[in-house]
Amino acid sequence: MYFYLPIALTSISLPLIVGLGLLVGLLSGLFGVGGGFLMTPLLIMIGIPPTVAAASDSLQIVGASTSGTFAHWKLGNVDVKMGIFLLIGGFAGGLAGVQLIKVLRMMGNADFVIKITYVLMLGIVGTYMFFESLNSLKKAKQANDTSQTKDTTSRPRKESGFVKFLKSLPLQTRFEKSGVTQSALLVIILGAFVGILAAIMGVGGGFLMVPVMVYLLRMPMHVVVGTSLFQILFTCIEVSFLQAYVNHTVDFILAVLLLAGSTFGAQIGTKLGKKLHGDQLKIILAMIVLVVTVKIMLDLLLEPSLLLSLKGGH
Amino acid sequence: MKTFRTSLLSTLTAACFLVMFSVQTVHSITSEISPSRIAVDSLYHGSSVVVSGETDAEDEIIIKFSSPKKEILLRKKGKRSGLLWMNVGELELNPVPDVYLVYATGDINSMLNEDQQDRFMLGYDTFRRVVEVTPVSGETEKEKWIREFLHFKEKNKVYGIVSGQIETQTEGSRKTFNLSINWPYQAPPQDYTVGTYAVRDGIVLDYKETTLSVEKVGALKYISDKAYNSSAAYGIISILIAIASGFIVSIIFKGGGGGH
Repeated sequence: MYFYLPIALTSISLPLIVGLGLLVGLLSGLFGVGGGFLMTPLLIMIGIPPTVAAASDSLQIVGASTSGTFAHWKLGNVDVKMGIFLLIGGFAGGLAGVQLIKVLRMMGNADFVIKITYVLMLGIVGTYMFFESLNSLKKAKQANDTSQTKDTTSRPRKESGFVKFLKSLPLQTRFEKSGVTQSALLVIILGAFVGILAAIMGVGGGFLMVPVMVYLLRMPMHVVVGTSLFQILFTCIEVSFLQAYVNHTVDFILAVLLLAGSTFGAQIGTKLGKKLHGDQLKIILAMIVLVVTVKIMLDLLLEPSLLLSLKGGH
Repeated sequence: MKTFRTSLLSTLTAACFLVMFSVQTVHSITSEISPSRIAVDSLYHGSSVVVSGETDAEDEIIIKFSSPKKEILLRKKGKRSGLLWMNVGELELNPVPDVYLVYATGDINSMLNEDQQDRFMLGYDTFRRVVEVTPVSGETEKEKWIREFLHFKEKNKVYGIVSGQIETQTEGSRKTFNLSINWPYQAPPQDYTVGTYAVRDGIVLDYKETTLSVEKVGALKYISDKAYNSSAAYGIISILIAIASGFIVSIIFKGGGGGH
């Protein structure tokens, strides 16, 4: 069964698109990522114009992250206070990132900088997360810990110089849900940092925000997933509106078909996530990020079969 | 002397017109398209189109479906730092159609001379001669990008040159033809010109042009009109629907899924 899309102006297979939504929704519920870094290239691959793919995907993420945020909310996994601080930073960072791209474009090497930043960030984040979670999984085995709780906060924390530095920052604020005390200033700055990178790379930034929350803000993995989804929901509402209003690139039918899969996927992902340990979640996400990194690197190194493409997209 | 020359010139011109005119009237090709209108609704996945007609028995036939010519802007990929493939800038081609599907009873290059190919924009070789490509450093680079452009469009199923698909039948001095194609869903909704050309001795003797309208209808048209004409409302409603469906699925899942 095929559907013709009013804005993308192409016909797509119903099972394929719903299946794609289900897969990305599952990842979203599991890891708290929007999945834009997977979905947009997949949509372009099946013939959706790049600009329409990115815009419709952001509308799809609105639905999927509503579903995911709601599911995590009921489990008590959403730190609204943290989410709002990150959003403030992310919004400012997004604006700065857009200006930065303008400057890069004027200097004439924007695409080069964007691609290299993308590969480096994905590679570093994926590798670090992979080895870190591998280590803690090993340690957990050695310790043969009797308590099989999923709470990663129980891990003993070293008072390293970095932690001391974090504690010396002004505006120390208690984040009850996450069980951490951090400088509000630091949270906003980190939010801005992810916002800048997300704007440069043209992605939602979930795969960057998750490691930032885990490693720098020291939040437990399950609260990270819920809070990240909460944050992504608001970012994508803003992006979807701007894309629809300014660029007319949101394909409602495409988004609805993707949603049919992804909203269910997000629910299944959340349930599945409850059964997994925080470190197991991290190591799976790390592997997905690394596979995507390798794919992008191959795209950069091998001669493409088509040397021309439509404008827009990542 | 001057008047003699002028009158000779005008007589010759008149004679030329007369010859051309008589060729046009003596030689006539008929062509019909069915359907002439394709409705694009939500379940549209392409359509079948038939072009039929008749002409002189000795003629070769070319049928061309094309959209209006315009400038097309694309991103080009190239090597950076001698190692990495990425977008290296934009390429503009002008004038080129979005959609260009040509069917012929033989090889266009041996059927038509270059002037005629360029005049009616028939065959891929004419692109090299009449299309401007910017920026390019010279002829070789221009030819390379024209080749890449045709390759890109063929991959999208909106360009193609096919010989042998037109069925013909000769009866006495006349020949009937029939072309049945699958109109690609990749061709966007708009009006297309369908030209049918009778070709002999390297030139087009006669041609007919009709229109094929591909139009959005029903809910599909409604949604696309809203997206372009009331984009703020379209954006807000889309977002509200997305949020609502997220909530509804959460509730359904809770009810049907059991377990905590």
